[in-house]
Amino acid sequence: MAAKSTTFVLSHGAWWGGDWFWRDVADLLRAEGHRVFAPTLTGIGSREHLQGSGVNLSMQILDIVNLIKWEDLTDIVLVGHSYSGMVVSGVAERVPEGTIRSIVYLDAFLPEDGQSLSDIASNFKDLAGDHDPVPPPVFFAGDNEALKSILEKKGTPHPRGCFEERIKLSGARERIPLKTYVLAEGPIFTAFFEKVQSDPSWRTETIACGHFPMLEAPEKTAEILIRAA
Amino acid sequence: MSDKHTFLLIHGGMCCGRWWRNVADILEGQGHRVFAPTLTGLGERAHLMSRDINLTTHAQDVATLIKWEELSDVVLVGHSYGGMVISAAAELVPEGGIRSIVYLDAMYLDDSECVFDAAPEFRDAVGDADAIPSPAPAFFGYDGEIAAFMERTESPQPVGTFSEKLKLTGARERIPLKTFVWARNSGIPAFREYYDRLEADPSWRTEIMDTRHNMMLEAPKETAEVLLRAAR
Repeated sequence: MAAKSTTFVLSHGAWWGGDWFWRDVADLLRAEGHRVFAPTLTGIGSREHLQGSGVNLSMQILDIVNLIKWEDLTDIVLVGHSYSGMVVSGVAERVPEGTIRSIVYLDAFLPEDGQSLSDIASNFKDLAGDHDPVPPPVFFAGDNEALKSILEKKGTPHPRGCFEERIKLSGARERIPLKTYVLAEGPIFTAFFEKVQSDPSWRTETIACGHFPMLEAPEKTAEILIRAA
Repeated sequence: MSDKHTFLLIHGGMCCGRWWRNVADILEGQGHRVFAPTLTGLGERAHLMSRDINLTTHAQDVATLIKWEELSDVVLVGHSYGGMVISAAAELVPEGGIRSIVYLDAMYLDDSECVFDAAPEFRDAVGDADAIPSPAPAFFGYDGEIAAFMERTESPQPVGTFSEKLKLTGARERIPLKTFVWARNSGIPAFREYYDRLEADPSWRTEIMDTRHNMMLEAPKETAEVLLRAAR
């Protein structure tokens, strides 16, 4: 498998995203001959000027669906970080079967049909208050000062509609041949990891770093993604 | 100055960032960084189509990318309608952001002009619709594989991008390196006129390519070479 070129589509989480976000991981994957797409979701980072246009979860799902369509991508490894667990779950519903060979939840939300992020993120109310858009919460950095300064500098407020829209799932995600859940350190995502850990159709991995493996441990992240492929 | 450049490639009307793929692969293969975003409302961003998208939106697509990716010394390239976008974006990017600007068989219009002024046939074609359909590949002299690729990757152009007039205060003229490239066989007289005008201006470099309008599809290697010359 290693000799074969794989196409990775990397979907960033809430508040932080862009070419810079996946750069180290993407460079490592490309150096091994793989193709990498790391689009910026509408309203975030380099697409921040589009915030006024009713950005919601459906729109950000279409950001990825249409990339796959317009680039004629098939047999891809689709990776969702954090909030993008919502996005990639929705993408799986909207692309033809066979398009996604492997789906990877990287310390990400794993919703069931009818759930929104605000339903399954226990700390959503504390974190979001009444804000729309919701300002970036830098507590994710913990005591990692270098990461904290990156998160403070590079965050974009995230449209609330992305967090409150309920997703419609009919089981397309479960039919993807390879499914991997990667858990980083920290309590928020443990429940999702545990949910699939006992399911033989899922692979699980852990990574010894905080919530931003692509920034904190890019080599290990790239290795995990290649194993998931 | 590093000999590795950052290229920001802006596609023309009705098409998408994928058009640059072969050129980008050549440049990245030599160690340069390449960004080739699809403009809002087109290609894989077609789901954002609305009447609110205008030339300013597309200029912001470019300027916001430069800001968030913290790019500097950029070689900013516009093809065809992309010439409008880079002219408008130059006004939004802080000085030093763009080192070289390249018009690749591209629209070089003046302050207070819009695409409809230069190409009124599009205004006539669009009527009250929100978007302008793409001309057939044969209009640009293409058939076979390239025409099939064009048809597969084209999408309608948001009308506001062709109707909004440029607001220029001279930012593009202050960029250190300026290049206009004319595709000799494009068959569109306007591009020849821009070339003639800038060829007479000593602050501009000019080049001629022996291709039709879509040189990045037809001659990616030569296009990459033109861009590398314009970067230095």
